[in-house]
Amino acid sequence: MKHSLLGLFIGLGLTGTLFWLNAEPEEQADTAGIDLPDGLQPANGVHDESLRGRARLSPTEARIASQAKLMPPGVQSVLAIETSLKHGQFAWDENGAPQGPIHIWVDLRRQTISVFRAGHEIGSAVIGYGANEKQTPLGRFEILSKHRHYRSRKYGADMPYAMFITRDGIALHSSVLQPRHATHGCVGLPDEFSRRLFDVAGVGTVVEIWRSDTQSIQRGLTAAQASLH
Amino acid sequence: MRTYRPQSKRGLLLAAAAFSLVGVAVSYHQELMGWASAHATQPDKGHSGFRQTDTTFQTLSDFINRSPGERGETDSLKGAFSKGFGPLEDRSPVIPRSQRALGKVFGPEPFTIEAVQQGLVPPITPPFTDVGIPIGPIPLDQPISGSSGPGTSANTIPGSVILGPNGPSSPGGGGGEGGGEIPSRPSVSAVPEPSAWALLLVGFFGAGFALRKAKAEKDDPRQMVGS
Repeated sequence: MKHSLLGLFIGLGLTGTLFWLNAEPEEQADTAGIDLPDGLQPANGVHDESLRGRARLSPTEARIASQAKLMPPGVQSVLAIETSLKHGQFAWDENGAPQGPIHIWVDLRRQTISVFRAGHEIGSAVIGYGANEKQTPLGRFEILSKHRHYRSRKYGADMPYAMFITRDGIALHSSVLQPRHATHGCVGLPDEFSRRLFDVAGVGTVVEIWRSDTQSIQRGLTAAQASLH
Repeated sequence: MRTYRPQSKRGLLLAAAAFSLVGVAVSYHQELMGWASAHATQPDKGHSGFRQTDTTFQTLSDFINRSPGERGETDSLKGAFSKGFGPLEDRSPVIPRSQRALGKVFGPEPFTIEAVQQGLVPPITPPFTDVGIPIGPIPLDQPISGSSGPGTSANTIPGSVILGPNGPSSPGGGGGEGGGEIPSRPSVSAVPEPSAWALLLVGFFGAGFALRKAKAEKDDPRQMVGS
């Protein structure tokens, strides 16, 4: 009797300790002052299914956005993120997006990546991209190969979830993201985001890398507003 | 042999109970905190950069404003640099799969019997072919190496391969009359020319020097680069 009681107490104590240890990173994230809007995940966060949101994009907005190279043409909805993301943060929500082809869109100017499935955005993150002396190539690419545990011999670094888009070594892969950090040409992604992207993207998935045009956005919006009034 | 000491055991039990209480309290606290943070309303953060006042385009505006902004100055790159990293224009975005490079591609046969006969292509000295190959109008009496003149009856190179019969007046035996195959590629002389020896030596020293330099750099603590 006493033995079982002792065991029970120790078990309870261990459970509590485990809970405490598990909860530690979350508390650190809170104290770091990172406010997470709905649907946002910290780099080490736990995906909460209750936090999600999607905003419908009007055809006019979609047209302006695709003309300014913000996203591919024909996008119907994007993730509702009402704040600016920080390096390492990402949003992922496949809810409400039908099955269909994946289209990956990287905007170097805005330092963001957007993953679309059948015209609906399912993921977005802040990226790292090539330094001025080692620029990330612009254009339309296809994923040529996928490597879950890739290790670069040239740079002596692990690049998990690497998805190569050129034959000269440009890839999308998991990376440590900091505001001042540039890559050697690759597109660096938050680790958890890259894992999810790795799961949904396949060889042949289209990856477009562009630099969005602010003037085109401004022109498009001005014209659209003028037509409204 | 084991003796039970109820006093100490009760102490142990008490300690375990206290431990468990602390654990439960901590987990409950975490649960509460987690619940509170999950249900707290997020303060509306001001949008930086691009601002769109018209609410009609709020979705697009939010999409644009989720960016952390344009990248400013970056830290200098560390690590290896790719050799042969050309300008961006040289790199085609999508390389069609049909354009896979072959290991080696040989062009069309550069020598034909007709060409040799017409004197368009100078005949080559085939070092490892049989005696008496009649190629072209030019006699095969040029020395491979050494100083033997055109009057030599036969050229022997180390390895005792006998070349074709030579004579100063040999017209080539009425070229084109069967006999042998025309070598498709220029053959390499068995004995390297002095210039080749020189190049070999230069390359050897060059490699040695590069190795020495690399080793010296590696050993020099001042040259160490942080990871």
